[in-house]
Amino acid sequence: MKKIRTLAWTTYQELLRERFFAVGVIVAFLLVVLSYLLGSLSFDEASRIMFNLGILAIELVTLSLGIFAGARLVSKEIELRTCQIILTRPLSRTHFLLGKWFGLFLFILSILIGLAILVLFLGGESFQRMSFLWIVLEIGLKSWLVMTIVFLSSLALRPVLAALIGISVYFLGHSVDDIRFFLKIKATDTEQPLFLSILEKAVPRFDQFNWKSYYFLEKVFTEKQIFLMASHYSVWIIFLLLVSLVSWRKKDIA
Amino acid sequence: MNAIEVKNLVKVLPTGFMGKTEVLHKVTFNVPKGQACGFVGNNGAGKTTTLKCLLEFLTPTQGDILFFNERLSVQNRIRIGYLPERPYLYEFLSAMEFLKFHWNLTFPNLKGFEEQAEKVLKLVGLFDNRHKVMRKFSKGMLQRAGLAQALIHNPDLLILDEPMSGLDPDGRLLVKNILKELKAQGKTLFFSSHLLEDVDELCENLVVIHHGDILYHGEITKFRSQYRNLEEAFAAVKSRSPELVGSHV
Repeated sequence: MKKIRTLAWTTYQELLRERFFAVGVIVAFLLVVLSYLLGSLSFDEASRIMFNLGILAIELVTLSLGIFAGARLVSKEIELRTCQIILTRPLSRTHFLLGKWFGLFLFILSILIGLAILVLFLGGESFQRMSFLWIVLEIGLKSWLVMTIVFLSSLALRPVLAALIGISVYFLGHSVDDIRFFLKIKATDTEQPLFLSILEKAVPRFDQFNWKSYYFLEKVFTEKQIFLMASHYSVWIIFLLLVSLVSWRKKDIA
Repeated sequence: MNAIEVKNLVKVLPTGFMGKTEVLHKVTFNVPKGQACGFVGNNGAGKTTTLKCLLEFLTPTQGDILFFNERLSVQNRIRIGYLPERPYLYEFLSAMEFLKFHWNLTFPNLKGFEEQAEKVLKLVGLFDNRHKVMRKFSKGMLQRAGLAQALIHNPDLLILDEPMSGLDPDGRLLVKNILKELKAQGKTLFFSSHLLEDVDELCENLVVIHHGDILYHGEITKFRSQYRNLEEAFAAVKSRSPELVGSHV
């Protein structure tokens, strides 16, 4: 466990020092501050603008950093031969991959927490805090899931292709209900095209937990909804991590 | 006892779409414990592929590899130190932090890092720069930091891929002196190079590889006895000189 912690901490430090990622974080903070300024110029809509832009900034940054860092993390280690040095140590490939994944997880987590605190602080008393935090949790889990998809893909494909797969899964996962709507199929219908049945099972159902609109409908998230969302994403993450570990154990590091 | 024993190592690598090429053809050689052995061949001869198979970065298609009469495992990796050719060393860390990172990966619960780090950093001549971020290191200093990493756990066997490549004459001299010192300490050295003079100066044994075939393995003096210099001998062996091909230690 200490070996995984050592690797995760070094990966985290490395990611914090990457200029590209630092720019992403600065852009997110500027977007949040901008949303505050725009909100304060409007009548009655300050909270909505602040919320929408704040959530947009959090989702955009955690997702894009997860995708780009996930795509490069292991391939960079292979390309620069850093992983060769590490893998000659008395630690397994499983340790190595988990260490890298947890480092990236920590990186996304710290950005998520930082931005959420900033939005909450600027949002002031008008924010429904608990609902906002559940939405942030959903965004965090979604970002970790997409990051894990990219992470797995990058073990077999070039970073660009791995990133494209992550982006595609993100959009497909949000579109299952929309596709059904355009095909004029109801969710309760027993008959549906084969591709839709496959799609429903092959991609995480982000559309089922897209809670951003709930906030202004003033719906309260039930414990069941939160549990379902957290379990759906967690099962996907664990499954993809296990597949990553199996494929990494057999991979030739050329 | 042999520090490394390789028997009939074959590696087939994929090439292009559905294509396959055998890049190592029944590679067989030994590296005796406590001695220095050079692994010589032209670029693309199969040196790095062989080293990657030894350390299980590549899965051998066929063959046996033993370290100190045992197969490589997570536990016995502690006896091996490795430095690949021109690696990236997390240059945002200082030399000390970098060594601490590797120490923690090797001995998560063992104390004594400070003393070992001091010893190793003094050996590679980086003690005065131990708190400097490695981004500010020269190429030669980075190579020595890499060597320090390979030595931090006091291994019995050092495997180095082109340790002197890309270094200026001063840097090469420094690395050579470190290797000589390690040899004097009784460590087994196995390093690849295409610079024959480095091998000639440091090693008792030699393994020559050419297009994935071992052309010679054995004592360097025997190899050299019939030729004025190593280059001449190397050229002769490359053209499959019958008196040397297939020699054994």
